[in-house]
Order: sequence, then C-alpha cells, then structure tokens
Amino acid sequence: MNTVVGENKITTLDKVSEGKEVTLISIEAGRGLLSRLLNMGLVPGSKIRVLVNKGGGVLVISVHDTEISISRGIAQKLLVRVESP
Amino acid sequence: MKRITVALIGQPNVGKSTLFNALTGGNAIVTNWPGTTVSKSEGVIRHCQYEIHIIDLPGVYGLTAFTIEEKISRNFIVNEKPDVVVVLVDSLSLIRTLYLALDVLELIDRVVIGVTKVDEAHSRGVHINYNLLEKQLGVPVVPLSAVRGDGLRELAERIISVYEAGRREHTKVDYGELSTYIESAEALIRQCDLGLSHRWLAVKVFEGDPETLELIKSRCTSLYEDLVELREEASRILKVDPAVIVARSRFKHAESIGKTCVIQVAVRKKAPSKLFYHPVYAPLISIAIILAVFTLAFNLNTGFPVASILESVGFSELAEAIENYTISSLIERFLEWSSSTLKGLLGENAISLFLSEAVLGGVGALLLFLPLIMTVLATIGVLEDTGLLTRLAVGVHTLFEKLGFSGHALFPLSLSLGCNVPGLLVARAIPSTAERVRLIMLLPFIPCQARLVVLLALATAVRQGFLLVVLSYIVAFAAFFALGFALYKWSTMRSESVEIRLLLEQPPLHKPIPRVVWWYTWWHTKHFLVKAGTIIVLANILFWLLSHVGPSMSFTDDPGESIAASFSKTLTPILKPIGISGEGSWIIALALIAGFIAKEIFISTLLTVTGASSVKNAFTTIGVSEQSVIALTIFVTLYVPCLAALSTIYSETRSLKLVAEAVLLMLVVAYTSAILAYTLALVLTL
Ligand SMILES: Nc1nc2c(ncn2[C@@H]2O[C@H](COP(=O)(O)OP(=O)(O)O)[C@@H](O)[C@H]2O)c(=O)[nH]1
Repeated sequence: MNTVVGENKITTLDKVSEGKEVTLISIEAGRGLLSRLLNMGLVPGSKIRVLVNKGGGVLVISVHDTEISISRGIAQKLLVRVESP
Repeated sequence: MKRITVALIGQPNVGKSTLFNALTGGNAIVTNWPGTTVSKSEGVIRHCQYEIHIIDLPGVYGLTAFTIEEKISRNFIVNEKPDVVVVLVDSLSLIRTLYLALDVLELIDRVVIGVTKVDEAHSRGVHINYNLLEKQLGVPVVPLSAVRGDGLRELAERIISVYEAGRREHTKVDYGELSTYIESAEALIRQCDLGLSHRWLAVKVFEGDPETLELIKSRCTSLYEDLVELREEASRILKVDPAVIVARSRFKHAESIGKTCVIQVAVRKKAPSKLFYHPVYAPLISIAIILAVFTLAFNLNTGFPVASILESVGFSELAEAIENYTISSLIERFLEWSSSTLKGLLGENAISLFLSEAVLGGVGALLLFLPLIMTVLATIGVLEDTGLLTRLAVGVHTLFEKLGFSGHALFPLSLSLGCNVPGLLVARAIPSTAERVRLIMLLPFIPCQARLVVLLALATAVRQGFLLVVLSYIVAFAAFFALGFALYKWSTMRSESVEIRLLLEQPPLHKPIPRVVWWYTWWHTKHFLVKAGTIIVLANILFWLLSHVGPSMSFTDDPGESIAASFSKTLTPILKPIGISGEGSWIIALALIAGFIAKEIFISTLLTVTGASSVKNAFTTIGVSEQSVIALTIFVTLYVPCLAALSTIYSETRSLKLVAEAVLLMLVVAYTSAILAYTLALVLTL
C-alpha cells in the first residue's frame, strides 16, 4: 500500500529502506501483539529508524534508543510515514 | 525486626536479575508461582532494624497482562499488595523504560525508582539529573550499578523511608482526548469499590487489560456493560484504539520527563554490527559460533569430540590424557572411591548396598551431571550476557522459519543440549502457542549431557565410536527439525497456525561480565536441582528397589530374580528386529527401562547385571553384535530422555494427553530409526 499524501509517503515498515527514519502512524494487530508492541515503545508518533532491511528476512529497527528485531510479517502490520527530506 | 515486602519489577534487559543477585548475594529461594511453573525468586536483606523481603517479578514491558509472565507480575502488584514496589529503569534507555514505571506510579503509593547501569551511562554520554527526576516523579530515585555494587545501600534506605512515610498522590498522566472518557469510567468504577485506584482501573479498561475486565465483570457486574460501551464509544468517536492513545500519552509523559532530566552528550555511537543481520553471512556466522562454543563446552565436560578425534587418528595416549581430566571422569572416579569406601565401612549387606548404590548412585548421578550442565549453562550465560544470544536468534531465524520455528526457539534448543528440563521451561517465552507446543513435543529429541555420556559409553563398544556419536547427534537434530516441519505443515493445513513471528529486543553488545555469567549459571542450576534433581534421586532409588526385590517381596542380590527382570523378560521380543535375542537379551530390555527413568542408569544397569568391567564386555557377554549396538545407540538417543523431562512436559502443558502423545512419538521414531540403522549397518558391513 503506497499512498502519496502531500509530500509524505505512507507505507508499511517492511517497505522502508535501510537508514531511513519514519514515523509510526498505526498498528494493525490483534490485542496481544498490539499490547506488546505498544509497551515496547512502538507507539504511534514514535520515530523509527530502520537499521537493517535486506528486503527479506528479519528487520532491525531502532526506536527510543533500543534496537529491536522484528520479523517481516509484523513489520507489515506497522503503518508508517516517510518524511520527505 | 520489622518486615517489609518489596516487589522488584522492570522491563526485560533493564538489569533486574543482576541487581537481584547483587542485593541478595545469590542467596535466593527459588520456588514456583502458584499454579504455574514460572519460577519465583525471593531473597532477604537486613538493614538497620528491618528485614526486607525482595520478590523478583518476571520482567514485563507493561502491567497490561496478556502472557503468563505479565499476569503474574500484574497480579502480584495488584492483589498481593507488597509494602513497597521498586521499579527499575535503564539509564541507557530511560524514556522507554520509564513507561512501566508510570504504569506502576498510577497505581501504587509506595514506590522507589532504581536507575540501573549508571556505570555505563557516562561513557555513553548520558547524564541524568536525579534530583529533578525525583521531583518530577514524586518518589525517591536511586542510581544503581549492580556490577559495581553502587547504590545498593541507598536503595535499602530509600525502601525503608518510603515504607515509613505516608501515602502520596498517585501520578497523573495526561491522556489527552481520552481524558473525559477516563473520568467517566472513573466515576462509574467509584460506585463499586474494588480497593484499587479508580483511575488506574479506568485506564486499564481502555487498555483492554483482560484481568481488569474480568475483575469488573465478576465483582461489579452491573458496571461491566456500561464500561465496555464507554470504551467502544471512545473508539468510535476518536477513531483510534483507546489502547493506542493510552500508550501514546504515557510515552509523551515519559518523553517530557526525559527531556528535562536527561542530557545526552553526543558521543560517537557504535554502528550496529550489521554482520549479525546479513542475510547470507548471519546464519552461517551464527551456526559457526553456536557449534564452536558448544564444542568447547562438550569437550570440557567429556572430551568429546577432540579426544575422540585424536583417538581415531591414532593419538590414543593424548586422547586418554584429555579424557582423564574431563569433568565427568574426575567426578566418576570420586564417586567410585566413595562408594567403595562406604561398602568397606559397612560391609556388603542389603543396607550398605542400598546406601551405596541406590542413594549414593542417585545423588552421584546428580553430582555427575551438575557440573556438566553448569558448563553448558555458563556457555549460554556468556552468550546471553554479551547480547550475542539474541543476535544469534535473528541469525538462525531465517533458516528456522523455513522449518516451522522462529529464532526464539534457539534459547530452548541450546539449553536442551545441557538438560531438557530447563530447555522445556524456557520454551514458555515463545510468543506463539502453536510453536511452543510443537517445541515442547520435540525438545526431548535433543540429546542432553546425560545422553552424551551414555552415547560415549556405548561408542566404546564399536570400532568407529566417534562417528557413531556424531551420527546420533545428526539423527537427533534431523528428527527434531523434520518432525517440527511436519507438525507445522499439519497445523497450517488445519489452518490453526499463524505466521512465524520474531519480536526481540537487542540489548547492547558488551564484553562478558564474569559475575553476571556466574549468577545466570547458578540461577538456572538451582532450577535444575529443584526440578530434575528430586526426580533423578527418587527414580534411582525406585529403580534400585525394583531390581533388588524379587516377586515374593524379598531382597535379592541377583538382579535376574527381581521384579524388574521378570518384567523385562516379557519385553525381549521387541528387541528381535534389531538383532538382539537369546538368553541375556532381557538385560538390554532392563537397561532400557532404567534409561526411561533416567538415562545415566542405562549404563550402570548394563554393567552391574552382566558383572562386566566394560560396556564392550557386557555386550559380548549378552551376545550383542556391533550392528545391534549401533541400532541400540540410535534408539537410546531418541527415546524418552527421562522421567524429569516427562514431568516437565506435563507441568508446562497440564495435559496428560500431550505427554502420552510425546512419549508415543518418541518411541515410534526411536524404534523405526533403530530398525533402519540396524538394516543399514548390516548392508554396509556385508
Ligand atoms: N554496565 C552494566 N551492565 C549491567 C548492569 N546490570 C546488568 N547489566 C547488563 O545488562 C544486561 C541485562 O541484565 P539482566 O540482569 O539479565 O537483565 P534482566 O532481563 O532485567 O534480568 C546484561 O547484559 C548485563 O550484563 C550494571 O549495573 N552495569
């Protein structure tokens, strides 16, 4: 899902390339996973830096100074905004 | 002496276990949380006129409870009403870890905040204004370094002063657009006093905390519908899940505190070591590291594989020298000596035999395995403490994923190489229930140290012993992964199974801290002692009695006359397909029964009953061919590890059906593999 809203692009986290910083907009997950993600600091509004994304396999992100590795399936549930430079 | 009960809570990786150990000096009492197998550690410190009882709660990210660990921590704080709650936050990621602290501060009066790892904060350019933090949070804040022992005394003093001081206002987080809804919910909850902060309960309703909703449903039934209605209304009108608003507001609050109290001086941040995340290298590096460290640990324990390799290329003297100084042979010699000393002191009679063989044998088995398991635990401790373990989990995830497991499975798998019992216990942390059940069914296939010792003993009876042991490990892992894959496919076909997920915090990498590694090792060892230890000792005694009491209930020192023997004799036809038949074949059956109870008595049974001095001689006496020994070795690798493992499967799943299925699976797989191995061995040696 790639919608262009003004200058900013809304996409899912798995599509963000390495080194980019994005803002989390929303999470589409069931109660349990949602609660875990929120409590780990993946709160809408948080800045997420994508440290590793090889287009396959696990992603590594940094959020609130913490490195977290997440599988691609979970990354697909995170809607983010890519700020244009 | 006044007694103060303190709950210690913190997010995973904040350094809670390390601090708990530093506080209690490792003298903790380990039990289980009632109705669960999650272990509970309790320690006591004395300070001035106070006896401070510290209860270590499972690490959780928040008080909203979906998992077993979260339920335990939440319910302890909510229902058991500890006198003081100590919340740990990490100086290296203060904002994120303050999140849990705020959740607690909204509920509890008497709180002390401990800021951990301050020894490292400076070098990372983090400077925290503790006085200001204290003012903003309204509760005492203590900077701590568990590895240096800083702040421990002050923590005790602050706990006491908070205990003696009166109540304080609960912290109020501004929930923005949700505030009016929270206030309405608060007003409703006030009508039905539950003895807890109304505001906190209201917030938990909006977070969808299952425990809070359950509590309100059962105790304030009339309000339940209204509250759920209110929640839905908020969700409808605000167009956002209220749980998200709560989390966001709490984070904002934490961030605003962080902004005023923390100064982050720019220091060159180490780039994350991408090597561990490389799609091609990472799995290779991970597997190489895992193989290397475990080979080292195994070698220290038993001399396998280095001594065996030396032996097979002709350096038998060197191999023998290594084997003589492995941990297992040192302990074995000690045990032999004490058993013969005991017999010498008491003479040969039923009592001395019982003491030296049944009791000392059981305790000895435990003594023998304790250091072996500790080496494996220490190895994992190093991996865990340095932060490597979670990287390795990511490294293997991509491979495991194809086989139906996630990278989370690495922890239980590697522990199982030491002992299946702790391996089965940590499988609890697997987020997906389906994957967890799969793991619990299959972990027993992973050869533990007890099995390694038995395998090595069996290997002495064949020409290519080293290869046989390697083959056994390969077969075991192949069985584990093949069956895992089959079960995974089967459950996706029934469309039960969800995607394989990985969600892991990656703590910063650092050099191992010996004290922390030791605490980790000791903590898990205690578990092994409590859980597996009792069963091993009792099982040994039971088996000894069965093999020394005849059908007429009288003592016999000829095991051939015992109850166990007459039962084994009925089992012998089963051994035919692997080429074991004739007079003495019941001895093998008896040894296998022994091995069902605890693997290590397999060998001692074989030796005592045949009266042989070595495993090789024992097999010659019974008339077991080399091919049959190979088949037997494969069988021993794969069939039920021990009673302790079975009882753990039961306690973890509370399902006798699952235990029965697991046992059946193991027996079927072991038996067919053994027959296959026998046939192959026959073909190859013809
Ligand atoms: N520098 C430093 N590191 C610490 C300290 N306490 C814990 N750690 C490290 O933080 C990591 C997590 O610690 P642990 O006690 O296992 O955290 P838990 O998950 O909260 O129980 C480990 O790698 C420890 O070595 C400390 O006081 N100083």
